[in-house]
Amino acid sequence: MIAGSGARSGGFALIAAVAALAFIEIVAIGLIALTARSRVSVEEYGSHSTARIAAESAVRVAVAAWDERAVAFPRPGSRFTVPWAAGALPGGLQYAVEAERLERGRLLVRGTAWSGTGGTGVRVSAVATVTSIPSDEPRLDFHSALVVGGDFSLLVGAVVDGSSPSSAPAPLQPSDCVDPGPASPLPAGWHRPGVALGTGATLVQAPGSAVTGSPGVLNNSPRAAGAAFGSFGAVALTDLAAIADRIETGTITLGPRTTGTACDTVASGNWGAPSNRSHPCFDWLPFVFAPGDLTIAGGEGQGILIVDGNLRFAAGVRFRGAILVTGRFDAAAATIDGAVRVGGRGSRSAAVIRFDECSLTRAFTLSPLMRKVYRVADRWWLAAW
Amino acid sequence: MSYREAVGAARPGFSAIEAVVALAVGGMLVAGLAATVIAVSRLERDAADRAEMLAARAHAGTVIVHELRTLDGRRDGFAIGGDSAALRAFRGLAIVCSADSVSADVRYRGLRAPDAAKDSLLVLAGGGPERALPLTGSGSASPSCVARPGESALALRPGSGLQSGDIVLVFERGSYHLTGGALRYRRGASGRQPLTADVFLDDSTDLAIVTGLATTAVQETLAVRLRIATVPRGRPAATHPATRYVPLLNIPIPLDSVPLP
Repeated sequence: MIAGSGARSGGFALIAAVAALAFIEIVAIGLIALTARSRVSVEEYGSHSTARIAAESAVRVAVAAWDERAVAFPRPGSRFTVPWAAGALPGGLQYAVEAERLERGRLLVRGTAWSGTGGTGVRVSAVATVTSIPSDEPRLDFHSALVVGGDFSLLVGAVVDGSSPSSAPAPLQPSDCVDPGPASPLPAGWHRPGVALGTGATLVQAPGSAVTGSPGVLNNSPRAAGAAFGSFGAVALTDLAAIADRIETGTITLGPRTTGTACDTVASGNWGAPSNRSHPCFDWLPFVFAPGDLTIAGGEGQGILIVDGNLRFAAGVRFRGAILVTGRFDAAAATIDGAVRVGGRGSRSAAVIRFDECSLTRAFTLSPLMRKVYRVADRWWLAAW
Repeated sequence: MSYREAVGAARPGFSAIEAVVALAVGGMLVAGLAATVIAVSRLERDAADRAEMLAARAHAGTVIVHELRTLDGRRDGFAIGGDSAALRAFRGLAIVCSADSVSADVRYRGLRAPDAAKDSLLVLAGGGPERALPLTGSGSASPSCVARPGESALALRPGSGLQSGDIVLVFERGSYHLTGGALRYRRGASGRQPLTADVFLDDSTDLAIVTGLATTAVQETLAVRLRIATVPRGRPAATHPATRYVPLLNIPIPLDSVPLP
C-alpha cells in the first residue's frame, strides 16, 4: 500500500527529529542549570566577600566616631546600637553595629552585614574589642594639688593649695563642673593633701613658699610610687603617644585660635580658652602628649597634659587641668588650677598650684581622648559567628 | 480522491536516485544531530567541571579567609606556607558572666559547642597579656547567666580562674592542607578530611606569608597569599589559576599604611 509506506517514512523522520530535539533540549536545560549553579557560586562568594568587608568597615566607622558622652550605657553588660554605623549599600546589603560594655572599660563591637530577609541571603559578622579610658582610675591619681615621686623644691613665692575652692573659680560656673558620669570619682569628704609624697620622695620648702591642705604634706602615698608615673590609669604612655589629641615638643606659646567663629582645634598652641567663657575655644580641652621635653613660654591653656620628659613653665603661664610629668618640672611664677603629678627628680617650682576639682572635672570629661575608644592590644579583631 | 492517494497514484515507486539523495540527506542530518549532541554533551561536562571548580575554589577561599583573617600572625599562625597552614582554629567566643576558681558561666556563640577533648581557651582579660588555658569540661550555666539571641549559656571549667567580663576564645589546634587536589583539614593528630572536591593542581596551589617592615626592624606577617589552580577532569592541560591575598587584621600597624604586593 503506497499510501501506507508514505505514512511510515514520514512518521519515522518526525519521531527521530523530535527525539533528537528532546535530547538536545534536556542537555541544554542541564547546561543552563549548571551555568546557573556556577553563577550562584560566584555570586555567593562575591556577596560573602562584600558583606564581610561591609561588616568590618561598619565596625571601623563605629569606633572612629565613638563618643562616650553620646552613648548612655555605662553599666557592664549593657548594649548599645550604634546609629552612625548603620545603613544600606547599593544592591540591598544592609549593615549595623552593636556594642556591648564589658568590665574595666572594654567594649565588644559587633558589626553585621546581611542581604535578603528571613535567612535567604548572606549574613556575615565582624567583632572587635576596644577600650575606653575609664576616667575614675587616672583621676584618682590626681588626688592632691601636687603629687611627687622624686624630690621637689618649692621656691620663694610658691604656693601649693590642696583645699579645693567651695565654688567654681571664675570664670567657671557651677554648671561647668557637672560630671555627666555615673558618679564623681572623688567621694564626699575626701581629704585632699597639698602635697602627696611617694616613698623616698622629698619636699624642700624655701622661706616664702606655702603649702596648705589636709594634711599639708602626705607621706608614703601609694599613688606617688615610682611605677605610678609610667602610665595614665591603665594606659601605658607609649599607647598615649598613638592616641593623644595633640603631640607637642620643644618650646610653644599657648593661646586660643579661631577660624571664623569656630575654634581652630588643629592650630599650634591652641589648648583652649580657660579664662573666657564666651570664646569658641572655652570647651576645647585637648589631651596633649609630649614624648620629650616641653617648654611653655607663655599664654594659657587647659586640658590634660602628659609629658614623658621634662616640663618647664615660664612666668605668667596659666593652665587649668591635669599635668603628669615623668621627668623634672621647672616652673616660674605660673598658675595651675587642677593637679600636678611629677615623677622625676630635681624639680623646682615658684608657681601657684591650686587643687581645683572643677577644672579636673572639665578636663576629664571634655578632653576628646577621654570620649573615644581605641585598641590597646594587637589582637583586637576576633573571630566572629 | 484524497491528496495522499493522488500523490501516490502520481508516484508509483522509489527511484535509486531518490533513495541515494534521501540517504545522503538523512545521513547529513544524523551526523549534524550527532555532532550537536556530542558538542552539547561536552559543553555540559565542561560546565559541570567549571561549576565544581568554582564551587571548590570559592569554598576554599571562604574557609581560608575565615580562619586566617583574625589571626594574630605572631601567636596563632604556627607554620603557614607551602601546602599547609598550622594554626589556632577558633571555634567560638565567650563572655564570662561570673566565675569562681573552678568554673565560669559564660555566654557562648560559635561554630560548635566547646569540647574538652578538642579545645583550649585563650583568655583576653584586658589590660594584661592574653593567656591560654586548658578546657577540662563544660556544662550548663546557672540561670543568672542569661544568653542573648544567637548565644547559649554554658559553664566552662578552665585550668585556672577567669573573671567576669573576660573574653574567652575557644580554639583547637588544626592544620589546613592543599594537597591531593583538595583543601583538607586536620585536627590535632587525626586524619586529613577533604573540604572540597579534588580539582586543585597541587604544583600550582599553595599558601605563602606576605611580610613587611613593622615599626621596628622585625618582619611582621601582614597577609597570607592563597594561590589556587584548578584543573578540569580529563583535561590536565587546561588550568585556571587564581591568587588571593588575605590581609590579617591583627597587625601592629595600620593596614592601610602598608601597600600589599
